Amino acid sequence: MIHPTVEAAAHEAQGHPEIINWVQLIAKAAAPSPLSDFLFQWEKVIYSSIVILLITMLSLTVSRGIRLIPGRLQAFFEILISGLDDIVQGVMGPRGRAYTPFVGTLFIYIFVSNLLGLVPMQNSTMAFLSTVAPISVCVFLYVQWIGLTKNGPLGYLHHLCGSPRDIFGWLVAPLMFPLHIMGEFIKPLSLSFRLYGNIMAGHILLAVFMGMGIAMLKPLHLPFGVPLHFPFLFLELLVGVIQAFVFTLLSTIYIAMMLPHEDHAEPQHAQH
Amino acid sequence: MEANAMLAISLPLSLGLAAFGSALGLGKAVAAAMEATARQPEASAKILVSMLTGCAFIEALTIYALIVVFNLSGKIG
Repeated sequence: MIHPTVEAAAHEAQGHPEIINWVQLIAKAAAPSPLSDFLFQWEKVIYSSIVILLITMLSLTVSRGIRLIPGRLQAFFEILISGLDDIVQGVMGPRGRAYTPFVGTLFIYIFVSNLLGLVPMQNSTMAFLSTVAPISVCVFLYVQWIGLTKNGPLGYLHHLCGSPRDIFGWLVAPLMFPLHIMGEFIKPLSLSFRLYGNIMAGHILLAVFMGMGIAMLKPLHLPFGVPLHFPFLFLELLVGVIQAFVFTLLSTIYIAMMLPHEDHAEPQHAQH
Repeated sequence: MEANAMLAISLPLSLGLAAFGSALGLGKAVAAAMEATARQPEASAKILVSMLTGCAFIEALTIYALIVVFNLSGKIG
């Protein structure tokens, strides 16, 4: 007699092959019990907590012992954070520094999650829409909040009308308004689908090739298979870094698009 | 024709079509970025960033098709 939750989970996984992770392993071993139910339902939350704990502990250890001459870990963090700051300021100019903490947090969280998905027996939370969508909703709300506070309510409406300046602009404004509203809602949708689709597709690719490697050596009854998926691990490493970077860059661009435009009249200061 | 058979034929085809268009777009984008880098190697970092953004936009269209395919492929059989 299979427990109904286990049956449901098995049915859900029937659609596409999955790599097993330790949470699922424990849940299947302890099948008809409340612990198994809990693990199946909270799998994504457990992996998110692991990522958050990792980042928190690393940053705490680094920030406790800040020295003028940095050690290895501190030097790595300084390179990472100044690199993120450079990217944000490259898009938004010097005023972008205020947004580096938010955007940098997005990058670090997504990056560490993507890499955790490649560790054996671990899973990436970015392969589920239910954990990626909240992040892009956060970006959406933050962008709207910036638009409301930096432009003012009237300026925000003016921006949503396509920032009309002449009579022609005002004539087209009723047409531009619904388009801009729709665009604002499509942005988080495309952000979350891009990240989730890429990571999920990568995991399925790895699982399919692992399955093929195991099936090749099945007649020999050996406890291992051919590591056919090995070259794709590097591809997934690349995809994980690029997708985290793209998510960050696009969030930065969305914030920059929402900010008031008056800086364009000033002469551009060459920073680099 | 049965709905199952129709899905089984059209899902891989749709993914292939989406990937075809995406591949053309990606090829064009990367070729242009390579050319730009060859002409001006000192601007390679900026070119790389904008190329990656563009590639993400192009690639996203295939990913949308892939998500649809995976959601519908559970209905076959």
